[in-house]
Amino acid sequence: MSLLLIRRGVGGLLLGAAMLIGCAKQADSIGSGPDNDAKPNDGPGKIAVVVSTLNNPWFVVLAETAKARAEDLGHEAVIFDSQNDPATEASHFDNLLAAGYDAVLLNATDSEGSVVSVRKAKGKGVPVFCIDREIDADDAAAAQILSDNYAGCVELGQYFVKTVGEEGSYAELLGILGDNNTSNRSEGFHSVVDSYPGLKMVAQQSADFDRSKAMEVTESILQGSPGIDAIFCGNDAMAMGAYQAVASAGAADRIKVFGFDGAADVIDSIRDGKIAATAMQFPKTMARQAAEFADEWIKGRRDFDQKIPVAVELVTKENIADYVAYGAKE
Amino acid sequence: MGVWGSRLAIFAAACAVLCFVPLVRITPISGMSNEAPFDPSEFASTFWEERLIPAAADSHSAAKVVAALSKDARAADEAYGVRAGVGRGFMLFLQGIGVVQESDGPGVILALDGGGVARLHDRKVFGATIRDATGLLQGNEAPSSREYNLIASELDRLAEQRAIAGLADVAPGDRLRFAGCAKVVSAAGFQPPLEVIPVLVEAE
Repeated sequence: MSLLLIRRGVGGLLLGAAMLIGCAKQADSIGSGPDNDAKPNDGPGKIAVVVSTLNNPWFVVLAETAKARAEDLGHEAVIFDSQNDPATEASHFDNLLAAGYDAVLLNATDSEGSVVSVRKAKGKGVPVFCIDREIDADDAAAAQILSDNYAGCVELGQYFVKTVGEEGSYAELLGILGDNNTSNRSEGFHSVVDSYPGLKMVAQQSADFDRSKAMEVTESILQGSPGIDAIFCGNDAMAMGAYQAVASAGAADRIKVFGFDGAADVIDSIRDGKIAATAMQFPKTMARQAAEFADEWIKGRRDFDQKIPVAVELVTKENIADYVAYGAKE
Repeated sequence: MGVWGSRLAIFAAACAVLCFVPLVRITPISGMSNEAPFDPSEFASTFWEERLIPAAADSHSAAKVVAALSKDARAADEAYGVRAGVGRGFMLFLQGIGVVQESDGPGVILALDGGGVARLHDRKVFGATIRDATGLLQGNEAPSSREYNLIASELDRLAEQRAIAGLADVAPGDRLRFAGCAKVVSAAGFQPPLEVIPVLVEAE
């Protein structure tokens, strides 16, 4: 018995030591920089577009624009839908790295969780260009092309105060908790609104950037606080859900709803006087830029700024004529 | 040596391996040094005093910028604009001298020496115009985008305290020297007067 234990123990120790050595080697590989010595390639490459979800029109525009731009530049491009699931995203990375893709355009599912996959790609010399959603690392992605969410919500916050007034009560619908876009948007909004002590936030709940959840959450908020003056939503899908609940409660003329994105239905709703304002992101601009960076990488460029902010513009009934869904009129 | 001898040799070899490759290795985590945590307020104050205000003397002439904007805003962008990332808008860092025309509207209207009119912002300041308009500050100077945004808020507060507060008692006819930052959302949509967030206001 004791001999067996010693034999197993020694074997286990040696096996553990071997595994540790192996892990250390792999860690060194993952931790190293991208393959900066990779030879430039003037021929067509394979570009993967890994998008958080295709269950939201905004992300469909983002992914399809990236794919189209990559193809325009002569590359093969394939869209992978992560279905808002970090495990599915990780599986996509395993598959695309095994399949020999040259670059990844990533709209991440999780600012922390996605870092592992990005590092894995970097370790194999495959650059990852993040679009729209930031990851919590400055040394993993080749570049991150991100909407300036904070500045956009500063603009929204100022318009909120202008239209709602310096006194009143409001609710806030947050996106996915832990997502950087959620925190940057909320903090930008509050950097303005919290300067006005007469504006009271009576509820702040997450609806996960989801229209149906936003409707449910808003119905619940309206039961407890029927007299609120406004609802600030961290994206347009939630704004549409909140508006549905407000309209069902017969309060559409009294409660102002604010969104963020510039999605088609919200642009129409601003034009129709249903939604008060949104902040226009430019998904096509971000997607094209990411595809062009991937093309430049394949051709040999390596000097990218880590974070490239993309301006966000306030859209209201006063300037709605200047905008279309997902962008400005050219 | 026998069976026991060989087993002891294997055990000794395993111990030797573990000496060089221990099962647990304690490694200092980067960023966990004795460095003080990032203080956006202190950073903003230092940036203001050591970089922003000294650079104001070399900023663009407000009269020239206003004249260029009224003639061709796109050309003014190319000549004087600063961009932070990708977008249609641009920012300006400028200085000048002017005479107060009005002080009870949405800002203080100045008739600039050299021609043209500018409006000095005289209310609460929000956003990142001051942080970004000089081109002196880069995103990698803060640990994350969150701290970078907090720097913007702190610079806004400093502008309110150190420059905008000085506009409270101005009256038509007063002559002011100023430096400040401005944001043009899009060249195509520019409408005068140019609104400037002051970072420096002095009676001339």
